[in-house]
Amino acid sequence: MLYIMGILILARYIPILAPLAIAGLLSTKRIAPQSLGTLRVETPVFALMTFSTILIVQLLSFVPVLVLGPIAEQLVGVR
Amino acid sequence: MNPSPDFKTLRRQARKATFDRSLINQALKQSFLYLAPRRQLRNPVMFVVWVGTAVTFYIALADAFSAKPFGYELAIAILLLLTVLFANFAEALAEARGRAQAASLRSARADLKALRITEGGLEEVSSTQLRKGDLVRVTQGSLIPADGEVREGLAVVDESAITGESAPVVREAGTDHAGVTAGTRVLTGEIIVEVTSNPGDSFLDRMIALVEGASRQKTPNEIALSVLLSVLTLIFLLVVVTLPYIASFVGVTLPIPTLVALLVCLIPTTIGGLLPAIGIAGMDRALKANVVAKSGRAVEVAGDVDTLLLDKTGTTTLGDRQATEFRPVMGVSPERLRWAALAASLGDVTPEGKSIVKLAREQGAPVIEDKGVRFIEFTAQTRMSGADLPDGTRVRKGAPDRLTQLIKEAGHPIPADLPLLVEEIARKGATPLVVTENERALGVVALSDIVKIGIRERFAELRRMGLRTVMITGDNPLTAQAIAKEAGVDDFIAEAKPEDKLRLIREEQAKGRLVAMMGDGTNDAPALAQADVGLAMNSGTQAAKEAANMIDLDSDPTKLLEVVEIGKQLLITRGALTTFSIANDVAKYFAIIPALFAGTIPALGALNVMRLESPTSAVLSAVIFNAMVIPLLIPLALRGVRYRPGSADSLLLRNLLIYGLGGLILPFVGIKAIDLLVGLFV
Repeated sequence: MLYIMGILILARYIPILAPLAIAGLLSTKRIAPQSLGTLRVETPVFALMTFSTILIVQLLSFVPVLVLGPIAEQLVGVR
Repeated sequence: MNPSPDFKTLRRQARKATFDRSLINQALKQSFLYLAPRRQLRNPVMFVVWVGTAVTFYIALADAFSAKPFGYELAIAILLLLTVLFANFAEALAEARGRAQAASLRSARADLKALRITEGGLEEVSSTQLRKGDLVRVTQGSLIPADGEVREGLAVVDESAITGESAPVVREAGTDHAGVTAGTRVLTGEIIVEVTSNPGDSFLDRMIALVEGASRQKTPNEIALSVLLSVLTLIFLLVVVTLPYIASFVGVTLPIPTLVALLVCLIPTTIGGLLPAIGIAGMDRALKANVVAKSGRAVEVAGDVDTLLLDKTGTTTLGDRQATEFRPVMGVSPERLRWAALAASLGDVTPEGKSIVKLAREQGAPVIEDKGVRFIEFTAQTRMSGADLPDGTRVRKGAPDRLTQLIKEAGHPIPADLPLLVEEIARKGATPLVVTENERALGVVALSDIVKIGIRERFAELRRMGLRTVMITGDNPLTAQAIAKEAGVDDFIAEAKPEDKLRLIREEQAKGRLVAMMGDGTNDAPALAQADVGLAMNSGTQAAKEAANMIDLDSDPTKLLEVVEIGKQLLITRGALTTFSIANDVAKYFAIIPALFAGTIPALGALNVMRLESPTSAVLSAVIFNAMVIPLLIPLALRGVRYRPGSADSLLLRNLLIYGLGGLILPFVGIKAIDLLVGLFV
């Protein structure tokens, strides 16, 4: 039980700490001035790209387990 | 012996033959040599595929020895091996092309005769015996034996063998045009050249070493992308490695070869396999534009440049001043002035003189017979030129102060409006030339800097790409402003001294911008070294070439714009193929996941949206698609995705549609097609 708790804690906090570390690293980088060549991030296109990337990477990471669990359950149940 | 024609043919062949057979053979051989594990370790993504290949081969062998069926396992092992080989092939082909291009550039300089200057006089040696610091005498009509700098004398040199440009150029000691290149021919004059590099150590030799990978280092951008790809690989490795344990929890056992196939399909092998090739191809493309890059980084940074520092003369304007206007003084008809200016310029072979003739003719000046005309050439002493016509008329043109003196000496009055005209033209940034007939002032010809045709559009294009252009000139602010406005540059610096360039670069960099500049003089060297992209002209001094991180063999001042495009294309190609690679994964999942569990949970067949034949053929089709996509994308990786100047937003949208959406849909079609084929055999 104890090691499951340990895993749960790690699984919770590593995904929180890692982005914080990246953000910390980025904050030390020099700021490039805005120009016409700068990619604007407040556009629908950029939002769509970011969202699609998140969606695809998450899908790829969790689909196998989802398929074994809920999806299989649903499909078998429908039968 | 004339090396130019056969050399040019070589160059043309090198350009044409993207997939020349001998290059392909070379690359095929290399792709097997690159299978060495140490080589593969350099690329984490492909290393995982390599390990997967070993594992499946082992399983296939073990099955074969225990008399179990092993066809499926062996098929997967072979397909994975092909995937690694294809990736190796892409890299080897890019290397072979770079080598071929560099070698064709180098072939012009193979084994030339040289007259080395020794204490005892002259000795004839082979160019391979020349060392840095040697002095060689190059006589009229002979080939320059080594890269170097003119120490004494002046010569007209035919550099067409290197640049393809047929107009000969002047190379003179002590100027910013002192650099000479091996294999080029001295047409007239005799020069003493100091050799600046040892055999095998020229810029081209160094570039070849860079292309061949021995001294090639990953660029910062490549490292960043490699980290991203490695992390993705790690995530998918975790997904696949944990899967059998989770599956066994619900009572499903999974075959290892299929798991390896799943892993290889998930990790970004397409971009992982093509990444080195894309980087090398960037340098190849630079070389194709006759730019020798000293590092891959330089080409890449060019794509991110924010500010371009451009010299006025040669880049923004034609090098020579051209006549643009005839301004007669009061009481003189324009026709008379045109006629006199034309007559005074007939024998003038300078570009300025020719431009006066051209302008006068365009404005309808009558043709003047040059029979019996005595031409007076410009000399440093007289500081004017002109002609004595058969009827005794003397026409002259020259600098205002000199001709004013001439008029005064002849005892004629100076027209009251002459100084005003001269001043007005000078204020506009043009050079005034006074024209006289029999020592009486007729008027003034204005010679102006002519902005290059098309340069305005080029700058507008750069602005759309988000680049700022700053023009640097030694001219006075008024002239500079007039030209800056006409050419459409964003900013200019007038009366600039060499150290101003360095200061400006530092200022821009302090604001976080990346700066590119082109230069040729020794006093440009510090600025070239400070700039993020320093492009030196091959005609420039050794100091400039050493300080720069790229050298333009054509010495073409507008080359900087091309280099920026090559850099951008390189970065965009990388991004596009990464997007494509990751988007591909979705379809592969829909092929492999149902196949993986089909045996134990048949209901999951509902996920088989592509209606693939059988689990075996589904897995094989996905792996075949995954392998085949690499060689199919090699042409794109080597040539680069098409680049259209535009804002970052529009480029992103365009490429997302092509490589993102396309990458999502294409594998569904591809895998289905392959499955239909595989279904015929399995």
